[in-house]
Formats: sequence, structure tokens, C-alpha cells
Amino acid sequence: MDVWQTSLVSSLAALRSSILNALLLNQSHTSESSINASEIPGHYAPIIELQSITKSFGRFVALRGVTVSMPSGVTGLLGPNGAGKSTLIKILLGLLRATSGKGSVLGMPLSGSSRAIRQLVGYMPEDDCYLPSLSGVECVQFAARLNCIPAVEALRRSHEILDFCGAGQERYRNVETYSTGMRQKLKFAQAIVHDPPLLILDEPTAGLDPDERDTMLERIRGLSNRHGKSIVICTHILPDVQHVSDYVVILAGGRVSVAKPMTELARPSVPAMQIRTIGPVAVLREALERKGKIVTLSQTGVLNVQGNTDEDIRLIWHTAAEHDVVIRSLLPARNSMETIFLEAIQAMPQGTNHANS
Amino acid sequence: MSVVDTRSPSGNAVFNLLAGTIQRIPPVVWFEWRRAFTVSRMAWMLSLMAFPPGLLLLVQMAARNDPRVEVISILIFILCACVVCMMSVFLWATPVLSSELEGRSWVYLAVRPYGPMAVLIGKYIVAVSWAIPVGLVSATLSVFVFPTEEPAHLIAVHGGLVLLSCLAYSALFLLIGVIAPKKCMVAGIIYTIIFEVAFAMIPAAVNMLTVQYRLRCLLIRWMEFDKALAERNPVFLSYFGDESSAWHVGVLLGMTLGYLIAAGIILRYREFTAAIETES
Repeated sequence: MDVWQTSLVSSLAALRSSILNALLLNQSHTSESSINASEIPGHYAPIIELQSITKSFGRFVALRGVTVSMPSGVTGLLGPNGAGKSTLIKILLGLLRATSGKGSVLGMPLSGSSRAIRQLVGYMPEDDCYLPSLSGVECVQFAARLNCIPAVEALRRSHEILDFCGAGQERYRNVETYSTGMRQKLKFAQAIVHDPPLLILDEPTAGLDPDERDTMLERIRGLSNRHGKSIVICTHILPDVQHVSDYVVILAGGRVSVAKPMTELARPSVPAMQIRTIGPVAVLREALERKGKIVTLSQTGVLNVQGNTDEDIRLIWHTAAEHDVVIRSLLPARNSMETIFLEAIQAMPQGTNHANS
Repeated sequence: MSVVDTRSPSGNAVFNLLAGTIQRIPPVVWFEWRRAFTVSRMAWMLSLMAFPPGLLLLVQMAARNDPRVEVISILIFILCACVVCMMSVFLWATPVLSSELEGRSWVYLAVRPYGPMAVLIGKYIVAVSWAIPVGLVSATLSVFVFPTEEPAHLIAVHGGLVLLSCLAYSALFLLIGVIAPKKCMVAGIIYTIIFEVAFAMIPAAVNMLTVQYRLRCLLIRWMEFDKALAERNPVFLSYFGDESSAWHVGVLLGMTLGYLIAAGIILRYREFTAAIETES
């Protein structure tokens, strides 16, 4: 009887210990698999810091002393073709080594930490980078496995991420048969499957129709706002940057032309209000000018009136009422991304904007 | 899990590299195998498998008398350990990088920690694991084309040569593919013709650097042709050396390891990107 009792007690103890182990493993796995940027040691201002980064390919200089700090949140990385955006991204990922200069990503130095950085960064390249002969879910699972996620967990996450990306049954089709939209979703999924705290997205909305584009931007915004991810978005679609970015870096000719918060860039040099009306706008313009306001009319029929104090706003409403003009919208004026971008490019010294030459 | 493991690269760097790479090799092998099962590849492998026995069958039909075991053995060696193994690993290992660079999928693999190294070793394993069965089946079938007294011995010898040939040539072609990814096939063919065919036949120190020389020496030792050759004409020995088979096996495995390490070092330090490719 004693032997039976002892055996029963030891079996129960073993069972208890294995259950506890399983729970602990599960706990540690959950915590490790969902790293937020805020959990990175040395986090968080700034997530990317570069000092005098120069990159040459022989006699061709792609980056010339780039010094920039990118804070957490969504950063838009802009620049004309050949400005050095792709080179900069590749340096951040450790795919290229800077000729000179130093920097850090998530607090880790660029030189000597490329593997650790890659583990914490999700990269969505501009080019199609799917592996032929595999289905969508296999491609994402492979990306997860290469980040050392166990097979079953990798498959579970792949489905979860593809659900998040809005990929339906297409995930089981061969990737070579995918539409542009589906390929974008696939690239996005493989970039985020290992739950990295920093995402670098190269042209994430290229080739998407307006609905899909909005959805993709919402996803990006959501990852930043709700999941605490830091995102660097590199695109030529300027309204996208204005829509999602907290911070903007503009490169031109291999140099940093602008690196400022979006709010600061969007703020016009002179405070102003933008007015949209129902019906003819000329009457209101003349009336406001007679009252001493400086008014400009854009090609799209938007009136730009200098001044944004309460008094200025009251004057606009009164004047519109006096002349029976119905105001559809009255908003503080903002610089458009196009204006910011063109000004940044034009501000660069002559002869520097020839990164491709 | 790895997300945390690789964050602090403390400890021995070489150990970390090995551990990180080894962890990632199984998925690469699995997915490469998954990608490899295409009708065209299977058809190509079956053709390669059938080529030596088919050719030997034609030789046997044309021959008036049964050829001697030396002739049979040399024919099987040339066809299986050389032609079949070389061709099958050539098509698998040489485009290790070019296929990914051309398909723009390299960046997909390269941005994963230890990804490039895992891909290199994973593809090497897949190349070897496809080529060895092809070579073995081909050699076994070839042995049975001619009636011999000791077919088991012939199969064992040619099986061993096929195994070593696949291991060494896969590593060699992998290295060529990493050195010249843009023109890997041309570079591979040129190298094979110059070194593995022409230089391997020159009885000088240079032929000792070829895989072909080592395999040839092993064939002579394992089939015990060396004594007969020495009796017939001592000049033959300069083609086959006088080292032991263990020495040749050791050198061959050392060369294999050397090729793989060289490929790994190049992969680690060279910048394989579209920018570099267009610049160079």
C-alpha cells in the first residue's frame, strides 16, 4: 500500500511539475513573441539615430553625411528617385555597410549588431520578394521559421497575420498567381509575422486600389497606435505620408533636406484659414479684401485667408452671412505634403540632386 | 524564443553564428524540398538517373566480348561519379544565389538573422540529398548492366565515390555561385572544363587541387587497380599518387569544408544587393 501511495504521490508531483513547466513556457513564449518597442532596453528616443553616414559605391556617392534622428511612431521617409532612400534602408538593415559614419537602431549600434537588429525589424521591400512554388501561407510561415519560431506556432501566426492583412482563401494559392494587392498583403504579412517592434515599409501602398490603400494605411496606423510599433514608411505617394506620419524625413541628393514632425511641417509660415464655399467664392473674396484681409484663391477654389484668431474667424462668418455665401468648411490652413516636398527639394544646393547620375 | 535569444549577442561569436545558423537550416531544407518537387525537376533527375545504365547497355550491345572489370569500373566512374553527380549538383548548387537575386527573393531571406548562412547550408544539403540518390541508383543499375564477379564490391566502391563526389562538387559549385552570382553557370562550366577536366589530367602538383584527382585515386585504391597499373607501367602512378585512401578521403572532406567556409565568409562580407549588382 505504501509503495502504491508513494508512486501515486510522485506521479502527481511529476504531472504538476510538467503542467507548471508548460504554463511557464507558454507564458514566457507569449511575452517574448509580442515585443513592443517600449520593451527594448535603452528605448526610446530616438529609435533610429544616424551620424554622418556616407555610402559610396566606387566613385558614386549614394549618401553624403546623413545625420538624422527618427523618433518612435510613424516616420515618413521621402525623396526623389536616387535620393538614397533604399541605400539608407539597406544600411539600417545591415545589408550594406556605411563607408563612414555611425548610427544605431533601437539603441543597438549599426556595426556589429546587424543580426540582432534584423531580429527586431520587419522589412517590407518594394520589389516582389515571394518564393515561387509556395502558397501564401507557406511563404509567411517560412519567414516566421527563419526567425526561429517553432513550426506549429509559425503556422498559427501566419494564419493570424494573414487574417489581419485581410487575405482570405487566396492564402492557399500559389504565390505566382497573386494579384498586386495580394502580393502587397503577403509582403506585409511576412514583415510582421515575427512581431518586430520596428517596421520598415518600402512603398506599402504601391499598386493598391483606393479602398485597399486606405485599409493598408489604417493597418499601419493601427500597428503604431494600438500595438506600439514604430514604423518607417518609404513612399512616393505623398498624401499617404501626410495621412499616417508623425515625423517626416526628406532626402535629396543623398543628404537630409528636412527632418521634422509632421505637425510642424504642416503648419504654414503665416497662420491662415482655408474656406470652401457652396456656390461662387469671388463675392466673399472681394468682401474680405475690402475689410483688409489678405486673401488668395487656389486653383481648386479654396480661399486662403491670413489670420486664425477668434476675431478673424468671426469676421469670416459675418462677412459670409452678409453676402449670403454658404460656407461648407472653415479649417486652419495646412501645408500640403506636395508643397513641403517641393520646397525641400528646391532648398537643396545646386548639384546635389544627382544621386543617379 | 529567438526574438529574445538573439538580442544580446553575448558569448562566443562563432558559437552564436553556428547555433543561429543550425537552428534555421531545417526550415530552409524543408521549404527547398517543398519547392523542388516540380515535374520538370523530377523528369530531369530521372533522365540523369537513366543516362549511365542506358549508355552502358548500348556499349554492351555493341561489344563483341564482355569488357574487363577495369574498363567497366572506369566507365561507371566517369558516367556516375563524374557526369551524373556533377550535372545534378551543378544545377542545384551553382544558382544558390543567382536564383534568389534574379527572383528578387534574396532580400526576403537576407533580412532574417542568420538567413544568408542558413540558406547557403540549407541549399547545400538539398543539393546533396537530391544528387546522392540519383548517383547511387544510377551506379547500381550500371553495375548490373555487365555481368561481374563481385557486383556488391563494385556497388560499394561506386556508392562511396558518388557520395564523396556529391559532397565535394556541391560545395565547389556553391562557392562558384557565391563568387560570381551573375554569371554562375558560365563560371561553373569554365571552371569545370579548365580545372576538373584539363588540369586534373596533368600529372603535376596542380591536379592535386582538383576533386577529380582525389576521386580517381580513390577508385584506383578501392578497386585495387594500383598494383596492376604499377606492374604494367609505373608512369600511371603519377596520375594516381601513392597516398592512402584515408588520406584522399580526408583531403576531399577537407576541401569540401574549405569550400563551404569560403562561401560562407564571402556571403557574410560581400554586399549582395540590387545596387551592387547594377553598379558592378
